[in-house]
Amino acid sequence: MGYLDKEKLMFSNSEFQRIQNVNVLIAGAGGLGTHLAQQLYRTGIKKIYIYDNDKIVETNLNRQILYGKNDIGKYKVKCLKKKLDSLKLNTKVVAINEKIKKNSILPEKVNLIYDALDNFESRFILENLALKNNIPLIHAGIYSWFGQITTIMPNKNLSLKEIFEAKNYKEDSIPSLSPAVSAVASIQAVEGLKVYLNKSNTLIKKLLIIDLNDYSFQIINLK
Amino acid sequence: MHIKFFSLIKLDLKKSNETIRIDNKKTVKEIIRILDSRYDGYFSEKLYDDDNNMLTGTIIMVNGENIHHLNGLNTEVEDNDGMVLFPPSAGG
Repeated sequence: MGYLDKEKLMFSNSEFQRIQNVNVLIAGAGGLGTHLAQQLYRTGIKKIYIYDNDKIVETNLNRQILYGKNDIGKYKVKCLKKKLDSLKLNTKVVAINEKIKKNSILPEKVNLIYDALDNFESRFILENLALKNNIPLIHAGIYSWFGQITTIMPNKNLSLKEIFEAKNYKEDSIPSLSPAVSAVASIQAVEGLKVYLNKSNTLIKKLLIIDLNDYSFQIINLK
Repeated sequence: MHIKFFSLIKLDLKKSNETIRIDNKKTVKEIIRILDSRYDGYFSEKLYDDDNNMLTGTIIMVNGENIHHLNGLNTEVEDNDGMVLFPPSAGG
């Protein structure tokens, strides 16, 4: 018996093997990033590269799972790696204590990039790196009860910048609730795996808008 | 034409969509004026600054395309077009 036996039941043998060979990059170790890292770690993928250079502050603790009161003041990615490593499952976690920048050099053999950033300016920088390196970008954003998810395939559909325009939607304090962040991050995690496995019904050229206030999930078809 | 509202707009208006019957082509700006008349000026307050320029914070899409890549507020729409008003969620 192995810890992935029940996951294996959902996939063909070749799909299951492919999942165990996926390397992902998660940009941001905040609300979405911690939930994503934990979910993806449990799926038994090969490697998670996590980027962030922030330290943990108290206001992170309402939603950024993997951090507790004793972690305040520590670097997020180091703490995240330590927590996940302590679970002793197969996935390797590589903590990169840096902010994603225009000239960042990505690790080799990254199959998917997850956008877990908290502002659109940084997201457009991340998207440029994804496009330059020909890697699918799985975007998500959260606000209060709401979230959106879409997948950007390099040079095959509208870019994030074209969809959202280069406007600054940054707000000083974004309302957030851990279960709402978790719901969005979980779908984002699934989306990446489906894209990697070439499954149908992905969010390529589609924007999924999640509303946990009225429990509506709506898809807008994008150009 | 069918107009969908999302997230905060839907929460504010307690409504997720609106149908406007238009016989001839109209601009997005004219559509917003019609919506304003039905929702007590809500949309121009949400979307425009004092000089009637579009504020950031809300995306308007026509048939899945941001109007910034069409003709902005002067983008023409017809009765069978679909319009979406959507404040993107920026947090992470």
